[in-house]
Amino acid sequence: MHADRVLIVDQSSESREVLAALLARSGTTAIEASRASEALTLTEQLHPELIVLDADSDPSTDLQATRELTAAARRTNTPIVLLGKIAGSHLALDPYELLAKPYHYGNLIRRIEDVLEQRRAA
Amino acid sequence: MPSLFVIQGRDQGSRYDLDAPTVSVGRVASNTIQLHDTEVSREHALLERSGDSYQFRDLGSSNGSFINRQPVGEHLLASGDQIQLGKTLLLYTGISQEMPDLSGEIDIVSSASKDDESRILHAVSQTDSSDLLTGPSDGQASPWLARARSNLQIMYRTALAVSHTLDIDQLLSRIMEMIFEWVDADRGCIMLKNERTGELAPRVRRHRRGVQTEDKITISQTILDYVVERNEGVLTSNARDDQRWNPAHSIVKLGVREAICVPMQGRYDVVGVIYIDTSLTPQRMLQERTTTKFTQEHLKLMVAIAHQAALAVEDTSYYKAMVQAERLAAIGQTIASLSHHIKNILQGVRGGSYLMELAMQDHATAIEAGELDTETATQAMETMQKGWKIVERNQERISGLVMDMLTFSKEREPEPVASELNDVVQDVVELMQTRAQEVDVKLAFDPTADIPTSMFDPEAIHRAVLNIVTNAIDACEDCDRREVSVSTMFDDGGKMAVIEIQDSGVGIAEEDLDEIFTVFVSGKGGRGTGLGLPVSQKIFQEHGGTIRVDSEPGAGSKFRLELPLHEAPINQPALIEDDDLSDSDVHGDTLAPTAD
Repeated sequence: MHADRVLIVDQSSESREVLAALLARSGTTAIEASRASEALTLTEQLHPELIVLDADSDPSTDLQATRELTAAARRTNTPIVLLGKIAGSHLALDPYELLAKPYHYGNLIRRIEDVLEQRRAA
Repeated sequence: MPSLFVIQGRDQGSRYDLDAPTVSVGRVASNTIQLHDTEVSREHALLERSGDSYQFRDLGSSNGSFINRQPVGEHLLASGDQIQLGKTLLLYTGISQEMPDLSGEIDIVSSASKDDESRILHAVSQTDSSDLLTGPSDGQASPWLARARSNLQIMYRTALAVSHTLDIDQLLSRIMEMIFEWVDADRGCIMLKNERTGELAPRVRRHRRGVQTEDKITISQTILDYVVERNEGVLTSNARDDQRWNPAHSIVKLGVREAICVPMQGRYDVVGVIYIDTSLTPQRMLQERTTTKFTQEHLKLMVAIAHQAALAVEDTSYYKAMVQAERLAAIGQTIASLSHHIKNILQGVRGGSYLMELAMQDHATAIEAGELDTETATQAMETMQKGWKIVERNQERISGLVMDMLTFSKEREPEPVASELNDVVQDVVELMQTRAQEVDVKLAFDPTADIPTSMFDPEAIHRAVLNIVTNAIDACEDCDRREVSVSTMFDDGGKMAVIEIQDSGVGIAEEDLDEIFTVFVSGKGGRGTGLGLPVSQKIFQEHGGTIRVDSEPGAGSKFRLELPLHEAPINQPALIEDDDLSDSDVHGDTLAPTAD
């Protein structure tokens, strides 16, 4: 069984760095993408077990790519943990976890591990 | 007094009363009217008093002057003229208004012309026309017509008065003044209804010259209630009091007090009341054989005047409410934007401190278990350093945000001192070097040696350059080629220093270029405050300079910061040395604005 891979989509390299470092502690591999469009390609190529999407950091651009990413995730049944509050329901996400900002990293890591756990059990 | 009002441009809202015989307009501070507009020339135009108005003269400005959209060299200003200088649009209001010339629109044709076949049916001479005023048959002047005409005049002037101001108190005192010119009242007041409590509160009070004023105006609540509730104007007199006709309290002794109280009926509601009163002295009563001075007609006209005034009051309140609403909306947007940014900073701090917390836990656990080896210790230390760096960076970020907010919010004047531009830019480059290395960006500085010591606000320019260098580094972050080069140049001909910041970053899309200096619009998503560039631009504009941008999406951007140089005064060398000392203190501060 290979290590779980989590795709982190966040415009801020700093946030990616923190999360990647935290995930590494539990033996989870992080794949990083700064934009939703980039994440889309990576999702299709690498099939991560989970996507952590910061959809709040870049509200003005890339909405279309974000939508495509969530659609692709739904297709491949990849769970998404969504960070930040998204205005309206334009993303139409089905099974997702939402963490409002500012969140605590402890909570985030627990959520990620829960979701991965469920997935493994399923 | 004639005045200029800036209706567009950076100085929007500024009003300048023209009282001097000559008034100069331009970009530099030596002008009577300084416009903070980089497209306005240093000495752009001159206004010279000519009779009641001003003669406008362009002083050979580079971008020219336009009045009512026409390019002009010289022009006699008339009320309502719109003067465009650079991006600034000014409205001139004079004392008297010139009649428009209609000669082009109305043709007076000679009698021989076939175009006009009218012929004269009746003719009325001047004397005949005044017959109209003499009334029907009895040959006396018609008081009715005279009154009607005078009433019309009053209404006209009321309409005029209420259309000219947006200040309620000013408006009300004008109305009161007019009423006093027209009717022989002793005292008067206007009361407005408080929108929240519905109570009437006096706003304007007036009395006729020579009238004893120590008396308070006493108005019966019954009358006020009647006026407001029934929405009817009333004419009252105490002459009918039975006592009056009692010989013991002779009317001759007391005189008669009459009052008119009318509602100010607006479109929706009664907004207040107007009250006037008068007293007839016994002598006057005997003389004129009357106990009344106010008539039904006075009352009717007062109702009409009050209605006009009420409409104006309503308009003004409405306008004020609109302005207030817009202000609140702007505040809301500001808060939303700032809290979004602060939230992101907080998120960063949390991330950094959580890393440190974990590292400390690991470390403590290892010590407790007695398993502290070099590898664990090193690992913990590395995590801590990583976390600390993130915390520090976010500290810097919040400090920068506060600095930008301060620069943007306060109406702060630049404080020019003799400074070295290269030193200031060097400071910025050194300060940003760490950040550049973190994201693997090559940051280089290429100064030009010949920039003279000149007068500018080093702290402000430091801030302005810092914001742009920060942007340049951020722009490179996700790119393959990561280079930012900063250089300074000196354009002696233009007496101008230029700081160029070129990056190999993502560039700015053409449609976004117009927006980059708009406050709270950030191209950096969650990382940007939307304050950096507006602040830089504000600082350069305050220095009479400008910021130009060239950008190619995918290839990078070039920011060209132009700073007009004012040479430092070279007299009193001893003092200058002192200046230099204090100046270097300022530098000391600006070197590490985020270290505090």
